[in-house]
Amino acid sequence: MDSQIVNQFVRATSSVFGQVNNVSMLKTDLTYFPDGCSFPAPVSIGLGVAGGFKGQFFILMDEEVAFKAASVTLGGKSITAYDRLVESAIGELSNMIAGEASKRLLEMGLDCEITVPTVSRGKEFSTASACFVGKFECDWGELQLAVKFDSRAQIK
Amino acid sequence: MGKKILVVDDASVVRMTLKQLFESYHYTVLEAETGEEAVQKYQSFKPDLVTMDITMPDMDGITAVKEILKLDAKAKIIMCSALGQSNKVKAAVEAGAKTFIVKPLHPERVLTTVKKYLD
Repeated sequence: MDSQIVNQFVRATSSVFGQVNNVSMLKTDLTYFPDGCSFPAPVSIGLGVAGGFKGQFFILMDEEVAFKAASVTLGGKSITAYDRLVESAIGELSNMIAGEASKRLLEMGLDCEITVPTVSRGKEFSTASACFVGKFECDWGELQLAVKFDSRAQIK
Repeated sequence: MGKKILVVDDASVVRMTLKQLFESYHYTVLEAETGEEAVQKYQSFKPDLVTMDITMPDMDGITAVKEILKLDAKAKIIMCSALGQSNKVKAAVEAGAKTFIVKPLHPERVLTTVKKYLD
């Protein structure tokens, strides 16, 4: 069940990147880390999920990918520094991924509410609890998606 | 003076993009970042149309639609949200929104929809 849910986030990420950025995402890996994990992630966008299942999902990228995604949203404007507009653009992109994932989850019978995105910068993403991590590659670089479950899904 | 549009979205990049789009077509635009701010600004700005996000801090967009319609039963509100699942669309329309545009927002589609309800 959990892997079916994770797949909806994976598909939503590919779909939204294709629609919004016209960038083709290639999923290169999907791994389950039962005891948590830690890896470099300069930019992290976290969203909470409640309802059909409880958990969080995170979109992790380096600054270069964030700048390119923000540039597309801003009509091709050149971005060379991280600022609030870049933060807003990648937050909105994550919001669209959340929306697409919610739509797919509802079609599976899981009615979920997703919170507003929280964008943060740091050196690494680290969690001590179990999570799935999907890795993607595109022309802009790498992107990772982490999905954590606080409760098991209940299919209606 | 052009017709007035209130753009409601917690993402500054969305507000900026829609503001630039509408102003290039000579609409007068005011922005609100939350549902609560939208209700307050609706009363003072008296817009001809509102574009409304759903997921926002404090008051969400569907509650804001209901609150605005209590103030003005003829308010024209278009939802612009990433949440395109059927239950959200239904809830928004039942709350009184005229229609629902799912993000990503395509300028032509947004303009066509706005013009349809303003003309």
